[in-house]
Amino acid sequence: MTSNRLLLLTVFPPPEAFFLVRDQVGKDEEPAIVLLAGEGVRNHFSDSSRTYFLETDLAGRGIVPGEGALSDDEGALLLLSASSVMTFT
Amino acid sequence: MGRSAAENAKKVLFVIEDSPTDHLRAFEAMRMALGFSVTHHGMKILLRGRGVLALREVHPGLISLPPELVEVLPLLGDLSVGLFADADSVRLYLPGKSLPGGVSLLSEEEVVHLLGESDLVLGFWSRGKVA
Repeated sequence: MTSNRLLLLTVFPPPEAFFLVRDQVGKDEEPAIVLLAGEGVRNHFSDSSRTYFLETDLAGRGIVPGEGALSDDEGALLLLSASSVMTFT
Repeated sequence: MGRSAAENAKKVLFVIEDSPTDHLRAFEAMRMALGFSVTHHGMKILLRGRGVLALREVHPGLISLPPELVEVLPLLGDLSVGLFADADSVRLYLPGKSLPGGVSLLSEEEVVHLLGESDLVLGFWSRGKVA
């Protein structure tokens, strides 16, 4: 089964363990998807190809939603379709 | 043939990195875990960082914390919730202390494996450093 791991990050800056998990857990798998919500939308990662933001939370912080911005419905679908979810809240 | 309920059950892991006496988050995490354990058999809890301080004796009444604080962890053990502690954190925060029965120590490699095999990780992580 294809791994579709999702990391839900709602804090800024990230907990130190976030990087351990992102870099070590499932390192032989496809990189995890990162969904940023709440204060988490303030985070920036150099590899943003699998990073998504909740549009409402960007707009609520005066940030113009750009690439990777998702509606609440799209964010919920992303969570529900993941094979595993880890929360960083 | 269909899979059994046990085979279909999500593997749920709580990770607690907060000290039980620094913030009510750790206590609330334990209470949430207690609730989850009713419907998620085989649930596990990993204590890491200052979270391992939950394994030492504390008298919550002395610091105005809920008395139930000391009851939740043994109760989780009684409910067959898997209790794990990060070995490096235990060496750092509880040197020389014998651990309560039922708590298994994990190396960093085993922690990474435990995180990786879980379907849902509910993390109560310690805060990141502010730049």
